[in-house]
Amino acid sequence: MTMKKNMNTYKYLFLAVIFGFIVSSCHDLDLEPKGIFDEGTLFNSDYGIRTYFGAIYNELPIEDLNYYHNRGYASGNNISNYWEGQKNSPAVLGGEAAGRRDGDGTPEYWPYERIRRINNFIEAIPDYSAIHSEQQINEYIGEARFLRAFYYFGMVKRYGGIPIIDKVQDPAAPLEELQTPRSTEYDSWKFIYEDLKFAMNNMAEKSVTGRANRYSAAALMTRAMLYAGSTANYFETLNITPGPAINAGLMGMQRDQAAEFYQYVIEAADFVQKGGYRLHDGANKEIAFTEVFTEDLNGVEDLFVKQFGEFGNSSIYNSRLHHSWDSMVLPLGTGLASDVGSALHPAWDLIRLYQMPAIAKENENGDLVPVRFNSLNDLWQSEEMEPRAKGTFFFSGMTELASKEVMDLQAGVYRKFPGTLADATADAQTNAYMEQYRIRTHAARGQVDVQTVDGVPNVKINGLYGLSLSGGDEGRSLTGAFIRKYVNPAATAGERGLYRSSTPFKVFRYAEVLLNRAEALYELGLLTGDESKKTEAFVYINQVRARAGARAYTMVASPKDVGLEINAVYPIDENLQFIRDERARELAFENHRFFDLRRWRVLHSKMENFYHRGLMGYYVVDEGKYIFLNDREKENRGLNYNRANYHQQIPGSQINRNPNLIRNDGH
Amino acid sequence: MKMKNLLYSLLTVGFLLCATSCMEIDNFDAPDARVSGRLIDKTTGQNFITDHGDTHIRIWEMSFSENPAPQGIPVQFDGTYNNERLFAGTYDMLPQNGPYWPADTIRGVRIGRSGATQNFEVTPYLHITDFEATLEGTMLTLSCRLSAPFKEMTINGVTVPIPNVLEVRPFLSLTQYCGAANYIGEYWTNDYRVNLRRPWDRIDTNGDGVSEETYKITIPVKKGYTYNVRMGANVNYTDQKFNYSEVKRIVVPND
Repeated sequence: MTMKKNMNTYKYLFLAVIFGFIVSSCHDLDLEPKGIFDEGTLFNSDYGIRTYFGAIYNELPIEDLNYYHNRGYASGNNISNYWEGQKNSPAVLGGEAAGRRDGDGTPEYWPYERIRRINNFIEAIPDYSAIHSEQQINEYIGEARFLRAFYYFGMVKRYGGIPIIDKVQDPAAPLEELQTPRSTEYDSWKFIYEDLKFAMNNMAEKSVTGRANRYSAAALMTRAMLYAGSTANYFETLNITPGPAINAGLMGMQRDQAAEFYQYVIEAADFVQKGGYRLHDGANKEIAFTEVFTEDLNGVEDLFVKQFGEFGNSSIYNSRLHHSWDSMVLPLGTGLASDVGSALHPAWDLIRLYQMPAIAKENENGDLVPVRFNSLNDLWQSEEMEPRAKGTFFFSGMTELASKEVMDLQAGVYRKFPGTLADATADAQTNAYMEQYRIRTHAARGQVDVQTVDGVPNVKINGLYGLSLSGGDEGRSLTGAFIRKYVNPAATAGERGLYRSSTPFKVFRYAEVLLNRAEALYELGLLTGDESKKTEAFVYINQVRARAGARAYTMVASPKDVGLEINAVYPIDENLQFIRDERARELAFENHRFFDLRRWRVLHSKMENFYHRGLMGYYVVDEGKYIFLNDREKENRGLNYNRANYHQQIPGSQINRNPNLIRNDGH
Repeated sequence: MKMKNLLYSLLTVGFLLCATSCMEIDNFDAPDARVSGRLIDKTTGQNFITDHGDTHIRIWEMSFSENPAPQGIPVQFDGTYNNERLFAGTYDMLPQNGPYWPADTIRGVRIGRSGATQNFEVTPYLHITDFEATLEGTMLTLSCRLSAPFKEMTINGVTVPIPNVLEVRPFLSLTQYCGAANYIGEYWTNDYRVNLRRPWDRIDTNGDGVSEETYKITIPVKKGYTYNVRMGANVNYTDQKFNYSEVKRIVVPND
């Protein structure tokens, strides 16, 4: 009996002790997970803050060499097939290049979770004043506000007015407080302005490559405020029927608000100039222009660079640590692209803007006929071609530096060419004249077709790297030229496959600041009637042209209206059109063109049943000479742009969460 | 043994619970409220001249939410619209996207299963008048003049002028439908259009409401085909859709 009692007592005692341990250890369950850095660890050291910022830099809305036009930014949330980003580039819808394209691009972009992290930093960092000096804290806050402005810019340029959130919201707050309505478009742009102004005044003077400094903020200011100025200047030309969004100022601005934003552009550009930035140049202007994109020009022309990972021995598939530029713009070949090849093809609409020898001239009847060349190389070997064009494109006969391959391109032959340019130009793939005289080939890749034509033996029909009617739209040329900009001239054979390029992307460079400044000056001159501003604009345009090796432009005193040529809905004076064309020449393939045409509200007029044309070199057999024609690319892909997307529709999923968001009009 | 039975019992109960949730039937009714009507040209009293889907009646189900996503009922070739698959409720309705001056939203339309009829009156930007189609061999010459019922309108107290006229284009079709939703693509090129892109005052210079010029477009047609043709002109408003002439039937003889 006593034994059992003892056993029971021990049992209860044992249970009581166990229970006691459990209860007391409840306090120790409130632990921080060991694998995650908390705010205290990160914010109390410069290294920690850099780590915190690193993630924010990583997700910035930069239209870089991985940007996929209708899938958006390569980001952690947007996976798979980044390699296709190049052929689905905004360059296609901007008319710069032929390629694939789905839809009008720019899908939903609503990165408030990233903005929250920035707001968190801005609110918390002053608490660490014991560790960081006041100047250091202001530098950090300046950098945070630059980053915040960058995120907001990505939204405002798509949607117009958006909810402005500059504090960390408490998730436990009542729903009405959290459902922030949209601010007006004007206020949204001013919010970006205020953040960038603070950044310009407080960020560091210099930074390592890949990080931003106060001049990067100023460069972003010139780009963002130019966007705002254009929107204010041209929004009303669209005549959108006012609805709730326009009436509340959430979408669109008025012309009388444009001058303020253009002025901000000019001030920020001046700030950058005073920081000592300049255009990179060299004795060999063609090479110097390629160096702008392949060399580290920190403190010279580079204002902000996005770097990619070190190239290793294997490609990291679907990783945005690398991009696929070389593989997607060079043709397949030894030492050239090893995957896919040439899927983004420069279009005549862009090529024709450069200073180069004329390919057509008037004959004695006043009709345009193709100019006869002794060789296709005469085009780019001429003094008349600006070195910048040779640094931007590979024309037929140029040599690619890393592989030493000659870019052999020929579109076909004409047995004779008795007619005019009009005879050989069609809004179609072919016509009776072309059928009668033109010979093209279906040669496979790697084959050069040689035929006897009208008794003449050994006539070469196509080039090794194009053009052929077979082979689809990748691998060889579709338009008679390749893109050279951003191609790595020192690439090894292994660095030209998918995900094997790491050439850094120049997000902001001084040339863009000059172009922004010139455009703002000229537009301000038009708005205020101030001729001196218009003249000053061309000082900067001619600096860009001097570096490019192109002739200086003399402003026309009584410019004519050239808007009708692109079916624009407003008149465009020819000096202004020259400034816009200079942007196209300088910033080709840097993902500006689509957004520029969009903010000028001419994208829908230009892109109405638009077909890309090429610079097709043909051999004329009975003359023994070469000509260039501008045939449509063989895939015959027509483009249109829905003008409703000048202000994209607010994402439906966001309206479901926040019914206070008013939809944009015009959709 | 006891444990085994307990285990099996638990598993069976669990399985039955899952099974019952599979057999729930979606017992919501399909939407079946109906609304139909005509889009009427206010200046003529006839149905608005349009093509399939060029314009919509935009509707908002206000009894469902205060900020609902809009839906659209396309207006058909004959100017009528009809939708028999709406949820019953109270709607706001507005003709939208079409080549007419902005209209007013009609609020509080009750749409129920017994059906509702709602007509809308709108004023077109342009009328296409004096439409002629002349066939010579295989060349078809189309001509028309433009007239604007109003060259300006006061909307919400603001007087706005008619937007700039953009283009005049031909539309050819091999079916009974003809217009921007049904046309032979080969004719949609800059060679077969009149590019105006100017304000109405420079088209109608003497102010009588009709264009001074008669616009002619000559296009090649094929032997043995019967075409339906019409001409259209558009102005620079949000959607840049076309106002059309009537449809004419052209038979091209085989010899």
